Amino acid sequence: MSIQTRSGTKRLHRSPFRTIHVGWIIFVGAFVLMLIGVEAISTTRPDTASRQLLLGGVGMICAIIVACIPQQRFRQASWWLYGAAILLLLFLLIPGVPDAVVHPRNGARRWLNLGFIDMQPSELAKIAFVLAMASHLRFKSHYRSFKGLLIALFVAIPPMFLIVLEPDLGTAMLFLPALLAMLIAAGAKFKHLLAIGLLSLITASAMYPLLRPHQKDRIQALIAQAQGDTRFQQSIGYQGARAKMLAGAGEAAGVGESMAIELLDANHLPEEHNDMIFAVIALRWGFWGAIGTWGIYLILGLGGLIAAVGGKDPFPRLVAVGLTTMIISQMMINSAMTMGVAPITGLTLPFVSAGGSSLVIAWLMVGILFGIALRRDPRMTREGFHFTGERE
Amino acid sequence: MLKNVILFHRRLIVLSTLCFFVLILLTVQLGRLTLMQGEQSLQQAQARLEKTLFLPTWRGRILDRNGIVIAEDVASYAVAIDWDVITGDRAIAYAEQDARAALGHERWKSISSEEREAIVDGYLPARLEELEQFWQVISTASGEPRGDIELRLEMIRAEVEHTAQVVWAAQEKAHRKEYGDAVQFDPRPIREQTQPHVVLPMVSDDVGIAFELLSEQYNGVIHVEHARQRSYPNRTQEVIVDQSTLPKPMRKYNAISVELDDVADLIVGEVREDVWAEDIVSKPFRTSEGIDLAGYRIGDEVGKRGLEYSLEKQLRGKRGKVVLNRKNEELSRVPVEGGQDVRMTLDIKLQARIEAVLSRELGLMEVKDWHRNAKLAVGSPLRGAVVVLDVETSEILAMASTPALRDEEDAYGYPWLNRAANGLYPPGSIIKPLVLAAAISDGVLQQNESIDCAGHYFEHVKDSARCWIYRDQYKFRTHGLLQPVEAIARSCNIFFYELGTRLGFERLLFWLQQFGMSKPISALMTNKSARGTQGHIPSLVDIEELKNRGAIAFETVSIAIGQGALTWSPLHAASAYATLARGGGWKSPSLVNGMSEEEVSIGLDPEGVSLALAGLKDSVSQRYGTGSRLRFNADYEEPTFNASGIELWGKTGTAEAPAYKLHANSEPITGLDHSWFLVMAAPKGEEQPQIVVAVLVEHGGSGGRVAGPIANQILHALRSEGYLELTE
Repeated sequence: MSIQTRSGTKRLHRSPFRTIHVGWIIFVGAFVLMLIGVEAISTTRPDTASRQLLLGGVGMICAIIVACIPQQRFRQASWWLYGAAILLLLFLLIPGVPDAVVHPRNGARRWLNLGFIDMQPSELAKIAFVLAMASHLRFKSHYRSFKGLLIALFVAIPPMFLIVLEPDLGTAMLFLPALLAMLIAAGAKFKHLLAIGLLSLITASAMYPLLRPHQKDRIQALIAQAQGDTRFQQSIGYQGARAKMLAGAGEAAGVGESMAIELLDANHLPEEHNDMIFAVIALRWGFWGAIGTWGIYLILGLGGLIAAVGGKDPFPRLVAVGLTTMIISQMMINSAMTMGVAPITGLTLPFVSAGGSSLVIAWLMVGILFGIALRRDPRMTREGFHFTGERE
Repeated sequence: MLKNVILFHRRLIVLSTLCFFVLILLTVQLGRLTLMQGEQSLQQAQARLEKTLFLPTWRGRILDRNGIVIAEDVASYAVAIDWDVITGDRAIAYAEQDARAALGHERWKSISSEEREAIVDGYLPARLEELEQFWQVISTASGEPRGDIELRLEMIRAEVEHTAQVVWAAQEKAHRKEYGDAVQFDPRPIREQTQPHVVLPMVSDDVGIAFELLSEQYNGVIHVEHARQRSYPNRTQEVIVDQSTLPKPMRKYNAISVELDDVADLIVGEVREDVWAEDIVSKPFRTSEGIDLAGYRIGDEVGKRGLEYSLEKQLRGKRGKVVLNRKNEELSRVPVEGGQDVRMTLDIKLQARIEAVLSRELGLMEVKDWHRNAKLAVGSPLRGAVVVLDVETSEILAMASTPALRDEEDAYGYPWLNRAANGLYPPGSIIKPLVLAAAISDGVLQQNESIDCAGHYFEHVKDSARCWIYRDQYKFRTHGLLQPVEAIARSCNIFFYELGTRLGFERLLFWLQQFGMSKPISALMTNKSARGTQGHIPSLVDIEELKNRGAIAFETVSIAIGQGALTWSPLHAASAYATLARGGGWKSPSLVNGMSEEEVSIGLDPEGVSLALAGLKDSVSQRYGTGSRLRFNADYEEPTFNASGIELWGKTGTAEAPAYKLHANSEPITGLDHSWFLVMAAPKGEEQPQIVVAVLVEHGGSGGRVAGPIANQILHALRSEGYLELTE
């Protein structure tokens, strides 16, 4: 069915779903990254690699399911999810919960035992936070007023605070770039942003005393390492120094698989399959391999932003920006800590690092992004954040 | 332009720009790590792919001139135990493992350290009991009482603890210097706190094997190490001494057995097992350029004294090196180079006999009534030295010094001093043949020229520069007119005063230096490139000062009879006599085989040499010769030498000595003389001396009476060892 107008023929009925859309690029990018991860993990731990592939499959199925859920449902559920995430984070901190339920590792209480898999509520909180924030910021009265932005900040603080207490500094810090990116995208006034930025900075530094001694050590070690001070290389800076050395050993083109296996075996690198996987990538495939990996993230990230542009409704737009920022900034912080320019905080490289909940959550994000890219807005939708010429 | 773009899109462009900016920074860092520092990082990472093992080397053997082993490295077993077992920490570690296993990994990880400790304490007694049983097993297997082992463990613990404190103190000091108080100093376990320690050193093969078996049972706790130990197999010797050739008052017609437990110890020396910081500084194992396989590491044997010390370079071997990959496959190998064997010129059997001659058991080295020693009581221990030198090669056949380390009676007599090579004494009359040969060579004396002995040399001075017989005890006799040969045999002072005057101070010193006086002979024994001086002769400044004082004439005549400001060692004396016997060819004495060098002529007139030798011969063969007879009292005398079939040349010396002290706090006794006897021998009928024997007895008195009988016994010892035999 179509209608003739002066400007040409227009179809009266359009399918609410696109067939060719940027979601595919995101999906393929995530898939390739996962394969790179599986290959990198198999360097030292072939068993973990096959498990990773299995979990990747689970993640992809989750992604497809999530992609089928309409945006309104997310919007409706956003504050409930946010509340649930906060409750789960609080639950982790309740003393006396049996170890069988809250699974402590190395003294950190981050994991909920779901029987078949350990789940990190903080990972869930990342998505819940983005959804809630997008839900809040979709109103102009919220994002263009300082008061609305203050509320946004107060939405961000509770999960961050609870996650820092776990302790999981890395994940907590991820909320800041996501918040900032969503505020920018929503069109917050720059003077407000500046104020929010300052407030976040103060919040972040106020959290420093909350840090555990080992976290302070890591920051100290990073500063020492950056200054060329070698005295911590055998103690608190051990992991960082080893990661830097091994990443550097890849030189331009990498040392190849067999040599990488030997080098990793001889130069013990803690968490080489997990938080430090980027060092393995740089070691095996060198400078160009690492650049290539970043390139895929970049494509994935651009895909996320294009998905945001492709819709008109403010909520999916902000969700797409928030989730994309989460993925990209996590990649950046992880790479930076492996290369000795950020403190080592136990943050995974999304899609690549070994680890169930990290991978599944990353796929969930892909699923949401895919769903956003997939859906056309109804014809009469007013374009969100559609003002030009107004003072920013 | 962007005005036309809706705000959302503009904002996304801002975000993307931010993202690109961060990525560029990350790329720069990645490029720095991989492209700029990559090569170095790769090397650093690859260094861990290989491991290097160092193979132990061995120290060269020391042999005597006949190939008898004097020092060698022998293999033995040492039993070492892990450090944490010695401290008992292993029991705690096991108790913790027990607790962990009982609790389960997950539960263990979730509880606090206080809770963990409490649980571990519950498992500790059983593990401590097990540890005690382990030590009981060690005690049974080694045959050492448990208490003795515990003492040894205590010692190890205390030593390691002390070492750790010292090391940490030094490290903390360095740490403070570099970082100030800003960074906490964190002491880490020192090497000794991570490695096994030898609990049972030098165990027998049986015990070693028993522990090998035990070590299989106790996985990785017991380490049976193949140790190398320096052994001195011929250090203990038994010598049978015939007493029938001793001077009559001591003569007995039986042989005695003399047990010597450290023969040639002073010459051969020993090694130490502890490497000193100085060794490592002088030749480090790890240098800035890499590894020196010949360098010193903790646990190495280092020469401590004697030949072990001075021949360290030859004796010390070079480690081997094996580089293995991660699968323990050999990548490269540098073979071990053992130390070089060193053959001494010393004859250990002769050495033992000579040490026996000087032993307390035989009694020649103590004051006898017939010595007529002016000040020392009969029976006082005497100190001295003997050198036996081969004339042709200038090789040292034997060299002994007394008191030896074993002589407890005279512990204050500096037993560590090798008097033969390093003791310095005024030469006395033994210098006279050298002065005669020099005078003839310089043409200041004709071979049949006579000089009149008037008892005193300076016409108007009767109480100094006298002849030795111009004394109250000899009724102020004089020698009258003397020809050179008889002058030596009678050891006339006046004759040699005159020669000294004729030669003049400078020429006299020149000739004495030609004979080796003041050469660094004891260093040259093992190192032909040694430099410096040894002994004392007047320096140019001294001479100038003597001239200014007007004392040069008296000093010249004093030196001509071996008094005055002159000192040398018995080895100097022997080598000067050997030079004379070679007809004036100088050859520095050597102690190590293959170091004999070419003779250097010192320019002696053959006529002077033969006159000096003739005088030496008469000195020990003519009745009037000072070295020919032992006069015990007015009624009885006998020949000094009683070995048959030997040609002898000899000279006594009685040299004014510095004060004698029995020990550090005793009253110094002045007015004593050192006794010298230089004797050269050859088989009967030979015209050239083959062997030189120098005997010195400190403060012994008369050279002939005190040193003479010792020289005689040494000739018997030489004969017993097959020297001085007639060759058909």
